[in-house]
Amino acid sequence: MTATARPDERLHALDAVRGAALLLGIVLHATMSFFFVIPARDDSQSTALAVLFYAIHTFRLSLFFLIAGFFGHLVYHRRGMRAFAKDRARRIVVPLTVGWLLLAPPTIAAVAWGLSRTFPTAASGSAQALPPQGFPLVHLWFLYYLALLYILVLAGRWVVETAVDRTGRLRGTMDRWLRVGLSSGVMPVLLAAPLAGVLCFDASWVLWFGIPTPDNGLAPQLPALVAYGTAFTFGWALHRQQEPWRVVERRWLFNLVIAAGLTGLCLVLVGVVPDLAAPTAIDGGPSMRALYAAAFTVSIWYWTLGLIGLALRFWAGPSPVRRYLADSSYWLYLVHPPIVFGLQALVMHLPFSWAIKFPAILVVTMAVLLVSYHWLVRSTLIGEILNGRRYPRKLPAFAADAAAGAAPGAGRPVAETMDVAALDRVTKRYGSTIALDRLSLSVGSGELLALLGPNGAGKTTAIGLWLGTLEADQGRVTLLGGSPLEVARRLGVGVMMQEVSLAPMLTGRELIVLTAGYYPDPFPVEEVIALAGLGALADRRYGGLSTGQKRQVQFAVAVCGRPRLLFLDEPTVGLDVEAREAMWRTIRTLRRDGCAIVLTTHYLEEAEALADRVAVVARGRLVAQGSVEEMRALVARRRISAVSALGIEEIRAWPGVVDVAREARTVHVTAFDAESVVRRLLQADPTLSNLEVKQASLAEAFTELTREAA
Amino acid sequence: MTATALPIRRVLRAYALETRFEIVGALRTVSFAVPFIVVPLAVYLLFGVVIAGGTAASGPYGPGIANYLFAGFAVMGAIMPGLFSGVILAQEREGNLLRLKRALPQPPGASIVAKVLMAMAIAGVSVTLVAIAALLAGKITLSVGQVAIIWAVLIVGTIPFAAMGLLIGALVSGSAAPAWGNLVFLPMMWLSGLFIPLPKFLEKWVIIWPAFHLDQLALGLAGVCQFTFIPPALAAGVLVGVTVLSGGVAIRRLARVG
Repeated sequence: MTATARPDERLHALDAVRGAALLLGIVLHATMSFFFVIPARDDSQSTALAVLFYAIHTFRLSLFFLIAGFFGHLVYHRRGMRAFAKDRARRIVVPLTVGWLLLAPPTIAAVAWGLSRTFPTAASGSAQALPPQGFPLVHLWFLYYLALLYILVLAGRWVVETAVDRTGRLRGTMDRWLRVGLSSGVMPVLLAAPLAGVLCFDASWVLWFGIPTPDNGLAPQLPALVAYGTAFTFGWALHRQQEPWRVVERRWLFNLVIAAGLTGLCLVLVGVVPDLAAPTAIDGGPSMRALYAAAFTVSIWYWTLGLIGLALRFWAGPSPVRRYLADSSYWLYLVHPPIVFGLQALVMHLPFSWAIKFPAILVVTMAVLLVSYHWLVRSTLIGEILNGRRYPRKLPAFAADAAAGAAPGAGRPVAETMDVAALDRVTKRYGSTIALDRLSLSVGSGELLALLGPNGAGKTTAIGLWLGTLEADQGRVTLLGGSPLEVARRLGVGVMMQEVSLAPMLTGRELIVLTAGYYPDPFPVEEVIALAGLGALADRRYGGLSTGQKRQVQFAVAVCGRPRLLFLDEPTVGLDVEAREAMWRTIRTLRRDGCAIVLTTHYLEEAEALADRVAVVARGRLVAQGSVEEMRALVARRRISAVSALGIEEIRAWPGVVDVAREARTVHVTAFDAESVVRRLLQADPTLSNLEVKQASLAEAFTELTREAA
Repeated sequence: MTATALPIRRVLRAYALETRFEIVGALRTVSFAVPFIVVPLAVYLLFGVVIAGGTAASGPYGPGIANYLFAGFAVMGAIMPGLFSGVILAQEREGNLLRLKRALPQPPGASIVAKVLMAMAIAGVSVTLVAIAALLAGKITLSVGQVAIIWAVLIVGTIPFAAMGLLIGALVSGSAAPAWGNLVFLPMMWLSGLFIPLPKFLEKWVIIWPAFHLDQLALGLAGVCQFTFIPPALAAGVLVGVTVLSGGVAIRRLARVG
C-alpha cells in the first residue's frame, strides 16, 4: 500500500532531512584529510573518500537551506512576524556570535596544527599557496547566510505585500508555476539556471569544489547567495503547497538515479580528485566548462528533490531515534570541527589505512558529541537556545493526537470513546479473495472482546491488521490512538499467537526476560512466572516442553510487558483443565486491572465465561455484536426439557417447534415460541414432570448467526 | 492517551538482550556453534601447521606463505557463522517468531542486528583460536599488531557474510537453508584460493568470491604486501556491495513476509 505523507508526517520527514544534512557535514569534513591538504594531508589517501566528499558537497547545503526556508515560512505563519524574528535571533544569531567566539579559536588552531604537520618545513610556502583570507567565519558561515536570507526574505515579502502584489494574484500565479514546474519535471533545470549562469562566468571558480564556500569574509558572495537564496526561497514557497509534495515523493527514485548519473558525468569531466595545480581549468575549453556548470547545478536539484522524496517515502512516521538525532544535529554540527580536524591531524602519520582511520575518526567524534549533547545540552539552557525548548533526557514520545488526530477523517477523538483499538470500514483482499469487507470493530479500555467466527471468517486477518503484521487495502486501523506500524503504539500491546515457535534453546525465564526488555514498565519476572502458573517449567528449555506447557510460556511472554491491550489467539488450545482455569483466572485479573483483551476462540464456553462483549464475524463481515446475553437473545429459540410420555413425532408437528429428541424418558424440544409449546405440553400430558426451559446457548446462537451469514 | 516512549537506555538494553540471547541460543545449539568454532582451528592445525608448515616455507613463496595460510583459515572462521546464521533465521521465519516480534514492540531491526552480532561473536572466538595457534605454532612472520589488524578486519568482515546468510534465511525454508548455505560456502571456500593452489584457469575467477575480497582486505590493511593482489579499497567496496545487496534484499523480503 502506498500513501502520500500527511502534513504532520511531512514534518517528521523534513526534520529528519534537516538533521541528516547537518550530520553529513561531519562526514564530509572527516573525509578531507584523505584527499586534500586542509586541515591535514593523511599518509593514506583515498579516491573513494574524495568521491564521497564530492557527492555530499554537491547537495548538502542546498538541501539544508531549502528545509530552512520551509520551516521559516511555517514558523512565520504560526507565530507572526515579531515572534518569528525573536525566535530566529535567539536560535541563529546567538549561536553564530557565541559559537564563533568559542569555536573559531580551537577550529583554527586544529587546522593550523594539521597544516604544520603536513608542511613541517615549508610553512611560509604553503601559506602563500592559500587564497587571501578575510574574516574567518569558519563553518559558522551558514548561520550568517541564514540570518541574511531571513532579513532579505522578510524585506522582500514586505515589498511584495505592500507595493507589488497587494491582491495576492502574483503569488497565486507563482504557486501555479511552481506546481507545473515540478509536475512537468523541468523544475530542477529552472532552479539550477541562476547558479549555472553565475558560476559559468566566474573565472575564479574552483570547479571541483562546487559552490564556493563563503567562509572567508563578511561581504556576501554572489555564488553562495544565489545558490542558497534559491534553495531558501523555493523552500519558503513550497510550504504553501500540497500537490508538489506528492510529486516529489512519487519521483524519489527517478530523481536520485538522474542525480547519481549527473554526478558521475561531472566527475568524468573534472576528475575524481581535485586538481590543485589548475583548479579553475577544465579540458575542452568554455563549452566543456558550460556543460560542467549545467550538469553540476542541475544535479544539485535532482539530489535535493530525490532525497526529500526518499524521506517522505520512508521517514514519514515518527521515530524517537530519528527525532533525537535530528534534535542533536544542530549541536553536533556546531561543535564538531575542532574534534574532527584535531583527530585528523593526530592520526595523519599513523601507519594504518584510511579505511581504519576514517571510520575511527567518525566513531570517536560522534561518541564525544552525543555524550556532550545528552548531558550538557539536551535539557539545559544551551538546548533551549538551539532547539527552542528543553527536552527531557530520553527518547521523544509522540502524542496520540499528533499521530492520529490530524488525519483527515480521523473520526472521534480517542478520549471520547476510550477505544484502545479500532478497525474503521477496513477491507483486506488476498488476490481475488476478500478476507475483510468494510469491517468496523472496536475494543474499549478494560473490555474483553471475544471475536468469534468459523474458520476463514477473517478473525486472524483482523488481528494481523491490529498488530501491524498486515496492512489494510482500504479503511483505517488504529491501535492505542495511532498506527499499529509505530513501535511506540506496540509498547502497550501483548500478543499470544495461535501458531508460533519461540526460541527452542532458551528457557521460559529467559524468554520472559528477553520480551520484557521491549517494554517500558514490565512485570517483574517472578510475578510473570506466577501469573502464568509456570513454576518449575520456567527453567526448562522451551524446545523440550509439551504443547500445553509451550502455550503457558507463550502466555507468560504475552503478559510480561504489563500490556494495556492483550491479543489472545486460541490461548487455551492444548491446555489441561487445571491450566485452562488458571489462565482464565489470570485473564480476569488482568481485565480487572484495566487491560483490554481481544480473545479469539473456538471454545464458546470460554467466550461465555470471560467476554464482556462478543463479535461474530463471518465471510469478512461483522454479523452481530453485543454482550453474551444480547447474543443469546438474538436467537429467539429456547430449549425445553421434561419427563413425558408424549411421542416426539407428535410434538414435532406442533407450530413453533424446531427440533425434538428423546433421551430415556426425557423429551428435549427446541422451539421459537417456548410459552405456547409449554402450555400445549401441559395440556397434552397431565403427568408431565421435571419441566425446564433454557435460553439458547451461545453455541446455538453462534451456529445460527453464522449459518444465516453463509 | 499518549504513547510512552522507551528511554534510550532501555532501547539499548533491548538490543543488548536480543544479542545476548541470540548468542546464548547459538552456543547451546551444538550443531551450530561447535563446528564453526572447532573446524577452522582443526583444519588450520592440520593443513596450515602440520602438513604445510614444514615444507611450504621452502616453496616459491618462501616463509611468507605461513602468513597467507593463517589469513586464509582465519577467513574461513569468520565466514561460517554469518553464512549459516540464515539457518536460524529461516527456522524463526517458518515458526512465525519473526511475525510475533514484529507485533511486539521489539526495537526496529533488533533480530537482524542480534544475528549479525552473534555471528561476529562466534567468528571472534573462532578467529581468535586460529590466531593463537598461528602465533604459537604457525611460523608466521607477522607482528602481533598485524595479527590484531587481521583479527579486527575479519570480525567486521563477518558482516557481509551474515548479510548473505540473512538473504538465504529470508528466501528458503528452514530445512533447505543448511543445504543452500553449503552450496554457497563450499565452492566459495575452495575456489577463492585462500589455502590451496588453484589451476591457472580458475585463478582469474577468484575475484567473484567475497571470501577472496575479505582475505585481501585483511592482508592489505595489515600491510602484507607479498600477498596483496588488489587494492584494499576495491576489496572493501565489493564487500560493502555484497552487504548492501544481500542485506537490502533480505530486509525487504522480511519486511514483506516476516
